[in-house]
Amino acid sequence: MSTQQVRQAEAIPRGQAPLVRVDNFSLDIIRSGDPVAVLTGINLTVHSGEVVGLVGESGSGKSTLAMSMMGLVPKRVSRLRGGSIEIDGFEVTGKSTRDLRGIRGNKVGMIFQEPMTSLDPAFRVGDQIAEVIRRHRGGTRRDARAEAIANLKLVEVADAERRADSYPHELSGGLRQRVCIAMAIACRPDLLIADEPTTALDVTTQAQILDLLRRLRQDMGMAIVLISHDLAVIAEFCDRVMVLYAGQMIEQAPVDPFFDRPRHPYSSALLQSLPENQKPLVELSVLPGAPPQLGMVAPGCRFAVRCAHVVAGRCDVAPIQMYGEDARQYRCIRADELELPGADNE
Amino acid sequence: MSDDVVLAGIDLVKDFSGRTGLIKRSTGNVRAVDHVTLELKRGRTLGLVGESGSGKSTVGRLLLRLIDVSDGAVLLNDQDVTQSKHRSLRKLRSAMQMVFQDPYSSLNPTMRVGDIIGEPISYHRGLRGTARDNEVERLLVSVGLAVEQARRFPDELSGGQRQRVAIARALGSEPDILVCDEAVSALDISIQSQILNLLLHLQSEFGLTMLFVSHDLSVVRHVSHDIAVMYLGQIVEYGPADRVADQPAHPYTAALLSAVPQAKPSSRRTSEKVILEGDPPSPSAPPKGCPFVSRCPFAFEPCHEFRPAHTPVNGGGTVACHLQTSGPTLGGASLGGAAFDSEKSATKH
Amino acid sequence: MASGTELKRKGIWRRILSRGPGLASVIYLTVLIGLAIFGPLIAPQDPNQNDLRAVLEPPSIEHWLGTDALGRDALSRLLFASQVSLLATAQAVAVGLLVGVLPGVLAGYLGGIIDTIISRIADVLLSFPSLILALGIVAILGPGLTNAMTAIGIAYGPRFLRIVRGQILFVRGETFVEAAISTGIPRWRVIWAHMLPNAWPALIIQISFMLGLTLIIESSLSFLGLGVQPPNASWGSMIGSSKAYIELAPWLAFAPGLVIFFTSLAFNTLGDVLRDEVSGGREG
Repeated sequence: MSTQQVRQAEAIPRGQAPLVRVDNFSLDIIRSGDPVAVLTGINLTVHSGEVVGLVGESGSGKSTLAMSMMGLVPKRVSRLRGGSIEIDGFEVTGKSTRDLRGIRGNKVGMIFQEPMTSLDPAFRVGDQIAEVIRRHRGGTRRDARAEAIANLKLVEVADAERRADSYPHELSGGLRQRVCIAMAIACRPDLLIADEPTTALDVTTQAQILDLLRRLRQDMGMAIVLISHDLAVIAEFCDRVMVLYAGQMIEQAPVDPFFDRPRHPYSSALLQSLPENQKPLVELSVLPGAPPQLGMVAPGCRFAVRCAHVVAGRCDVAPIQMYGEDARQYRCIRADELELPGADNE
Repeated sequence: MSDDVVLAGIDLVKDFSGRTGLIKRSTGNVRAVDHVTLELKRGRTLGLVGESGSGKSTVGRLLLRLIDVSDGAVLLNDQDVTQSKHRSLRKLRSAMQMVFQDPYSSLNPTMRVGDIIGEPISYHRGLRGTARDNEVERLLVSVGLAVEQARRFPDELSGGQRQRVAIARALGSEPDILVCDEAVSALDISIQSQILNLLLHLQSEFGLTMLFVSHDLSVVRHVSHDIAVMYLGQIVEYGPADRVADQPAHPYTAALLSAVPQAKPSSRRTSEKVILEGDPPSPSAPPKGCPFVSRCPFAFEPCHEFRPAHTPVNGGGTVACHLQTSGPTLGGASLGGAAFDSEKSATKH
Repeated sequence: MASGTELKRKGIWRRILSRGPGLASVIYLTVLIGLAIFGPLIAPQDPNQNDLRAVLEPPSIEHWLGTDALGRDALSRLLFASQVSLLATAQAVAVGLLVGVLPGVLAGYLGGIIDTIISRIADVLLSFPSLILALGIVAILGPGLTNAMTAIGIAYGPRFLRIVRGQILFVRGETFVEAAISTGIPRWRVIWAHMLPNAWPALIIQISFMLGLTLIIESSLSFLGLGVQPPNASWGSMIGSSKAYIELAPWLAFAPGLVIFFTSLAFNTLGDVLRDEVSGGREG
């Protein structure tokens, strides 16, 4: 599977305009009247058909970034500090709900961690999918229902005709997530944003859902942005990975090189703290401390206080830029001096 | 029973009555735990792994007597404590403590950290005033918190700090046994590894016996000496952690291991995913024979009819699977990844 | 549901005082309670001293609020009546808490048959309007403020019971209660230290509203002559005794009427502000 992914990633024509272009995007959230920086200078491109993983701990800003791509961050609690987000040439930032209607569903679909939040408990799931189809494309009720059932079959819901008449609470967590996926892809979007889509699911169900997304991506050629705290899920599913820390992108790389040889100490430390990469019953090598609270960032490298490789006077003075070339970037001033262990450390 | 067994559950059964809602519509009983037998050995950790609805958390609560068993017995140091009530039960609880999954809900929001940790100390050890405060401080330090945190309220602490408070509270009565119910599942990766280290460290320092309940096999593998795998209220496989993780004998264990995503590029390249179909059956309508029969790629006739008994496995432990004794595939051998490769038609690829 | 922390910390009182209606209510009630406590000291005259030379006099320098039909100073009587009315109101609510909280805790904590029995009794009591129930009890025990207020308190019991039972039931399902039980501390301690503090916010809000309501009921009973007995006065009985002279001396009814109105308003406003702040505090 993974060799196949690499081939596909390489096959992306570099000259073609990217599907998503996030350019120097910075966003504040208003907290009790004061703006707090949640995202700072995010650059990110996603090409058609590509699967990009966004990884970070809580408070890293990964979900806010995903919501921003959908224009879902409410304006009254946020302030754009700069930059832009373009999806297929359409500027998303600063747009009203009405302007975004053409993008949501048609160009971009989204699924969430908890399927119940995007399903209405009072309506049958088939009707909810049909509603999405009718809203975007019109057509008769009968046609929309037929298409809703076709979509349920597409997401491998067994006995789709009968399931279409179920209410969300009658379905298992895995089936609900399938229904959400069916809704998200009903209008065949070019991009699917999946925010922790398997975090609330059991591991065997997670494997089913990831397998389904993989297949849909192959069949429909849509790009996927997968947000996850689970490095292993990212490793298995994505072509490229971006690591967020305290609102900044600190590393981006193709998946295999990233897990083999991370270039940022934070990435390396995260990989090292996975229990599966360590001998059982031996204390893990750990990352001390906790991520900084929102808005409480150090003047230099934001990771400096927790970093094992920090050099006073170099790392903690001025903001650190991104180093490296297009495909592989890292926000560490010492990256070239360090030999950091990856997931295969034995 | 050997002397090193500290706590044992013998043939535990727990039925929850299926009466739900306003009208008390009876939907039949749900058997959450179905004849489970397990032993916690002194100074060792038993990992209890399973998916949601497998009954693993219920087993932890039965052993702690937080809920009453429907059938079976709980033995603490060879003494039957199944029927203990009130005062004697409270005394028992000083020997066994629990750490819960969600550190945001397991600490009383109206109490200060010092009082949360101090409460069991005063009740079980009779320490008051300065003696109590000194003990609180000692515990705070031993779980890696600052002494000043005693004055804080839980919502002033981070998730990791709260879980440390919960662990300190559990240690206050100087227990022999610690039950961790998904104790790191709600935490960020870097915090998760800190807490796992703390638990390993405390175990070696105090000789704690632990039951580590989790859905996360890689975490269970890391902290456990032995692993028991639960499915639909039953233990389907049990054995030393290495054997269970490296040479699973039950098809469900093998599928579970295979479904765990791998970060290592090398393991990703070599492993082929086994993807089980469908969801586990409802505990209110379990299959007649083996609990796993509806999703098992190897199921054959006896699996539909008879519930398999636990039989010993090469390398230690037991498995409840007909393949082990009479199956066409194994004939007594362990089930590695190889068996699945030959049966790929059973999976969805 | 409200959590107890909001009341205990984060300056809930400061937040209440920062809101206009909250601040106004607190100032008003503080002044009123002060006047009630120190009323006997600052009252210009003996409230029960008759002066038949000066009956039904309009407000003047000497008698700020005029005099009543027996020539007694209305201001002095109002000050003494404040003490009577407020104490009576507090008494009723205290009796209500006394008979409501414990059964509420028991019903919520123990559940099962005990919950069913307690809740049915509460339902029966609740189905009588408080005033009618109080009238009935007074009819049996005889008129008098203490009897009346005890009666009202008993009638309130079920309301507090319901709130406490609901809160206890809600808190019972919380993990921190299970965690507290798992540490092996006694049951009363689990209830007292872990469950009740989380029931407080809802209870305090209810108390605030009940104080407002009781004041009205006390006034009604005293107005009807079933509450405080002459020569003592409460706000309600002052209006009651002035009704015969409403055309001659309307000011006699005005002053206690206004005090009843504002006090009841203040209790209710405070309850509203508390409710807003406690539930609103959860978001931020």
